Amino acid sequence: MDKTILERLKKEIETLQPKAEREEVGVVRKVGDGIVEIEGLFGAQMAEMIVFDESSVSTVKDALTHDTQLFGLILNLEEDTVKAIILGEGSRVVEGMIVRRTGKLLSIPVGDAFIGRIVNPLGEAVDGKGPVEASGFAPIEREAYGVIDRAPVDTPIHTGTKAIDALIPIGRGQRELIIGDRATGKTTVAIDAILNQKNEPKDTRPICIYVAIGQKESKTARITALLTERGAMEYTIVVTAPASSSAAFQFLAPYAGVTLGEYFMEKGKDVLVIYDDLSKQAVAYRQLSLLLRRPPGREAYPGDIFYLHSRLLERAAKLSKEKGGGSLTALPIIETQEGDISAYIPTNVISITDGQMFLEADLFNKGSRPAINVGISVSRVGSAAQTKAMKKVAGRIKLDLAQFRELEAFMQFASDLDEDTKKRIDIGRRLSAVLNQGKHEPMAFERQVVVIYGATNGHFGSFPPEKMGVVEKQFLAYMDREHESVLNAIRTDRLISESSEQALKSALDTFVKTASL
Amino acid sequence: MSLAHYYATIIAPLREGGKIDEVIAYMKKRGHESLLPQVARIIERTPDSDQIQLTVASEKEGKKFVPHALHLGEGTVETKVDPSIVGGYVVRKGGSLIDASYRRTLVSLYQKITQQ
Repeated sequence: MDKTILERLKKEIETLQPKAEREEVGVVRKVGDGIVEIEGLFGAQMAEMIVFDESSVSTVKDALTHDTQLFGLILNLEEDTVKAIILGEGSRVVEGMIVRRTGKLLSIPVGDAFIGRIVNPLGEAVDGKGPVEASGFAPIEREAYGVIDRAPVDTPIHTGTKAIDALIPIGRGQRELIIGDRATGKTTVAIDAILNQKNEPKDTRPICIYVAIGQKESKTARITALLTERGAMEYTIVVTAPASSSAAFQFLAPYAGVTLGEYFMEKGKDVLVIYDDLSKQAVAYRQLSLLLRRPPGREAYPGDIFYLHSRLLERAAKLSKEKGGGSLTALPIIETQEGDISAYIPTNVISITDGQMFLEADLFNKGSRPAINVGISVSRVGSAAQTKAMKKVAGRIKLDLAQFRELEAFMQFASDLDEDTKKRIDIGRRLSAVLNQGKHEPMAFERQVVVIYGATNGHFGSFPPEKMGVVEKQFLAYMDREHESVLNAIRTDRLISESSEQALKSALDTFVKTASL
Repeated sequence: MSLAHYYATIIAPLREGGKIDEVIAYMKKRGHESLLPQVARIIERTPDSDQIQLTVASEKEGKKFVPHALHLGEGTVETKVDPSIVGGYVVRKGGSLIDASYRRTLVSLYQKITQQ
C-alpha cells in the first residue's frame, strides 16, 4: 500500500474521537423513483439535508462499497411522515434504513478553487481532477438581495455578438432570456458570451458559470473542450446535471450555479451565469412534484412553478457600493416548441426577466447567424449600460432594420420600386449582412464599433451585401495593421472621441479605395 | 393533529386496562368507526415511549452498556444482539438515537479518508 495512504490512515486513527451524540432519526418506509417516505424526523425542517445511514441495514463490508455519504433533501412535511428526494443513487436506499437529520439546509461548498472545474449540483468534482478545495459552504436556497442592497445596472457585459451588443445590450446584473426552438443557436449565443470575456481586461473580467441542465453529456463535453481550447476555462465553472442524472440533480443545478456565483459577487466580482436550459429544469421539477403527490396544475406543472424560476432569477443583482459592487448577470435559456412563446413556462420566464432575445428557426434557415429576431427582442435595462461608443454607432440600426423588414416583402418586385425604397432595402441588406457572425467567433467591443460605424455611415456602400463577411475581415485586419491606436482608444475610453472619429473616417476611406475583393 | 391521532392518544394507554370497548362504542356513536384502521396503524407505529432499545455486538457487552442506554431518559431497556455493529452500542428511544458503534466509526473513517 502507498506509504502516504498508510500515514494518512495512521494520522486519522490517532486523532479519531468517536462521537456518541444524541441524534434525531427516522426510518425509511417507502422508496421509489428517487423519492423516499420517512417515518419520524418530527423536528425536520423544509429543505433540510438528511443523511441515509447505509450501515444501519448492512455489515461494515457492505457499507464500505460507497466512498461517500448519501444525502437527501426534505421537500414535503406531512402529518406522520416526511418525503424527501435522494441526492444520488436511489438504489442505495432500502426500506428500514435509518435516516439522520443534519440540522442544515442544503448547502454546497464554494470557493475560488471552483474556477476551471466541472462539478455536479452538490459541488463535487466530476472532471476527474480530484476534489475541489472549498473555502466554505453556502445554502443553495436563500433570499435574493433587497432593494436597498442593489444599485442600478450601469455597466455593460459584452457578449461579443454584434446583433446583441448593438441592439439588445445587456448590463451587468441583468437577466436576459434567450428563447427559441431547438437547434436555433441558443447555446451558441451563450457560449460565445463566455468566450468573449477573454477580450475583457483581467480585473473586470466576469467569472462565468455555465449550468448544463438535462443536456447530453456529449454536448457538455464538447462545450467544455471548446472552452478549454480557447482558454475560457481560466474564468469559467461548469455545473452539470446531465440527462442521465436524477430529476433531483436537474432541479438543483441552477441553484447550485447561482450559489457559486453569489460567492464571487459578494467578493465584489462580476459574474455571468448561463442556465441551459430552464425548460428542462421545469420538467424535472414537475416530475418530482408529481411523485411527491403535489396537485398538478396547468400542463401538469405544480402550483409553485413560477416561484421555482422567480426565486432563482431574482438572485441576479448589481450590488450597491456598500455591498461591494459585485454583480450577477443571468442568461437563462428556454426552449420553445414550434415557436410557441405563449406556452406556460416561456410566458413565466419572459415576465420574470429584464428582456429577451428570440431566436427563430425561419431566420436560421435563411442563413442569419445568430438567428435573432431583433424586431421583437428587447433589453429593458441594458441600454442604460451601453457604452457611449456603441450608442453612437448603433443608434439608427434598429430603425433601419425595422424599415427593411417592412419593405422586404416588396424585394421580389425590385424593378418597380422607387429610388428611396431601393436605398432603404440596400441599407437593410447591408446591415443584416454586417450583423451576421460565425459560430464561436465573438468580436471584441471596439472591433464591433468600427465595423458598425462603417456600415451605418455608408462607407461599405460600394461592396455587395453578400461580400460583407469578407469586407469585415479585411477591414479589421487593416485596422489592426495600420490603425491599432484607434481601436485601443475606443477600448480604453469606451467612446469615440473627435480625434478617433476623424482617424476612423480616413481609415475607412483609405480601406474602401484600396480594398480588393 | 388529526382526529385519528387524538383517538390514538386516548386508546394507546388503555390497551391493558380493558376500557377500549367504551372508546370504540363512543366512536361508533359519533360515526367515527371508519377511523379505526388508521388509529390502529398510528398506535402500531408509535414507539413505546418507555422502551429503550439497546443494540450491542455480543451478549457479554449487554450489561456494560445499560447505563449508556439511560442517557436517552428513563425506561425499560430491551437489549438486542447484532454482531454487524462490530463493537460499541446503539441506543434508540422513539425518534432519538445514540450510535456509538464501531461500525459507524469505521464507515465514517473510511469515507473521510477516501474523500481526501
